[in-house]
Amino acid sequence: MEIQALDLWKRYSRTWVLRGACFSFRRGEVVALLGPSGSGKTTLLLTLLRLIPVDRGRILIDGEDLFRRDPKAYHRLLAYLPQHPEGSFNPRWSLGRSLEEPLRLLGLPLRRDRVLEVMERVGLSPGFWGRYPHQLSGGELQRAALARALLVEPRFLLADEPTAMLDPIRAANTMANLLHLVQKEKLGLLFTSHDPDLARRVAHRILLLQEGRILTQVAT
Amino acid sequence: MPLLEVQKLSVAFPKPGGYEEVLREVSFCLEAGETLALIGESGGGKSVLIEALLRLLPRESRVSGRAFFQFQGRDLLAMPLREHRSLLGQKIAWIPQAATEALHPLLPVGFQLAEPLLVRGIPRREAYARLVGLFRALDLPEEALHRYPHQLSGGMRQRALVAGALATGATLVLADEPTKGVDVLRKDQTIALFQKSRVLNPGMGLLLVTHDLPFAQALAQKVVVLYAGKVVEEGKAQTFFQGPLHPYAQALLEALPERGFKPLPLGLGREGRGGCPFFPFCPEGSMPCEEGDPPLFQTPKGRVRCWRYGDTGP
Repeated sequence: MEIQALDLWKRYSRTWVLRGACFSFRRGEVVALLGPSGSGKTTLLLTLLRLIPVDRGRILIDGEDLFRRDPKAYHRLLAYLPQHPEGSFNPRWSLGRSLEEPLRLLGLPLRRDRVLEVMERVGLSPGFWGRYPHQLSGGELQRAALARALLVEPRFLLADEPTAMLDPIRAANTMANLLHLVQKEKLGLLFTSHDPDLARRVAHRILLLQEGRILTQVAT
Repeated sequence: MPLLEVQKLSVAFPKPGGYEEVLREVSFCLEAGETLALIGESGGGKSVLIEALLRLLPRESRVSGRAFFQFQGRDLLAMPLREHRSLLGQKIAWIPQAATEALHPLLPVGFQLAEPLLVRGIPRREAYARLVGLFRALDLPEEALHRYPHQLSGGMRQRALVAGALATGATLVLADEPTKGVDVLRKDQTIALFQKSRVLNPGMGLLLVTHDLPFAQALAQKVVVLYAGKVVEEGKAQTFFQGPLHPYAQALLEALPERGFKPLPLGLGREGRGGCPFFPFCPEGSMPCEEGDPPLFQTPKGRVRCWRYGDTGP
C-alpha cells in the first residue's frame, strides 16, 4: 500500500506554504521529513491527514482518491501523533473517553477491553482510564496519543516531532518503540524532525521540505 | 555572592493520601555571567523548579528551601509576592516552554512582548526597536511582531519568546527548553544570540532547562543533572560532556542519536523502597546500591551521587 502526494499547493491568506510538494511512501517504510521551522512540515502532515484542504493537488492511496469515495475508510488508514499532545486532548474528558472518540467517529465498535489492551501496549496501566489530561505528565500524554492513534489499526502513522518533548533516553525509547511497531504491524511511518542525526539514524529515506517543495530525497 | 543561590529546594504536590515529592533538596549556585544547564528526565521536575522560582506553582503545592537572588540579596521564595512580581520582566525574565500556550491567542505577538517594557515606562518606539533588533538576530521577520500567535510556526513562536525575554535586559534569565521545535540552523542563531546578549549584558545569568544536550554544551559553563528529583551530578560543562560520572548521566549521553542512540527502558522507580533510585536501571548497580541512597560525593571532576565514587559503602 502506498500514499502518493501529487503537486500539493496550500496557502494561508497570502502566503503559500506548499508549492507543488510531491512524494510518496509505502507501508513498512520509515521516512523523515526535515526542514526549517515554518517550512510547512506540519501543514504537509495535516493535508495528508485531510484535516485541512489543499488548494491544489491530489493525495492518492494505491492510485485511488480514497478520501473522495470513502472519507471514513481513509481516516482509518492514517493515524496522527500531534506535535503537542497536551493540546490534543479534551481537558474535560477522561482519558478513556478521549481514546474511544476515534472509534465513535469512525463508527467502529466501542470495546473497552480493546482500548485497555492498546493502553497496555504503550505502557499505560488501566488506572489511567479515568484520569484527566491535566493529571498526566507530558510523556504520559504522548503515550496516550500513541494509544489513540493505534486504536483504529492504521496502516500509516504520521508523527509530528515525536521526540521533541522528550529527554534523550525517552526519545531513544520512543523511537525504538515506533520502529518496533513499524516492523511488527508493517506500518508506514512518516515523522517530522529537526534532528538530522536522528533522521539519519532511523529513517530509510529523508525528505527535505524547503520553500514548499520537497527538495531532496536522501536514502540513508 | 552568586547571582542565584538555591538551597535545599523541595517541591511536593498533593496526591490522594499525601504529597508527591517532585524536587528533593535541590541546591546549586548560578554566578553572574554564567550559564547553568539543568538537565534530566522529561517530567522530572525541571520546569517545576523554574516555576517555583517564579512563584507560579499552584497554591496547594508545598515548597520549602531558599533561593537567594543577588539583587537586594533577598530570598525569592520568602519575599512578599507583590515585590516578587515587580522583579519579573525587569530583573528576572522567563522563557516559558509551551510556546503555543504562553502567548495570548487574541493579541499580536509584538504587543505582548513589548508589554513588560512599556510597564516600566520605556517608550513604545524604543521597546519595539529593541524587539526588532532581536527578531532580526533570530531570523524572524519584523512583520511577525504584528502577527497573531497562530500565524507563526511553533519554532517562530519559540524564538519570539526568546527575543521577548532578552529584550527586558534582565540579570537572571530562566529559560525552559528555549530550542524546542527550533530547527538546526536557527538553533545556531539562538546560541549566537544568547552569547551576544552575554556580551551586551555581562552580568546576565542564564538558567537553562533543557533536553537538548548539544545546545547545553554550546552555552553552559556548569551542568546540574537531576534524577528522581535530586541532584545526581554537578560539575563543569566541559568535563561533563567529555565524560559524565553518574550512570544516569552516562545513559543520557549515550541515548543521543550521534552518540549511539541507546534506549534504556525506564520503568517505575523505587518509590519508598530506599536505596539509589536509579538502581533498577543502572548497568553498574550492585547490591549496596539497593540499600542506601548515596549522598553527593566530591570528586576532582565534580560532585556525584553514586556509591561508586564514595570511599565507603552505604
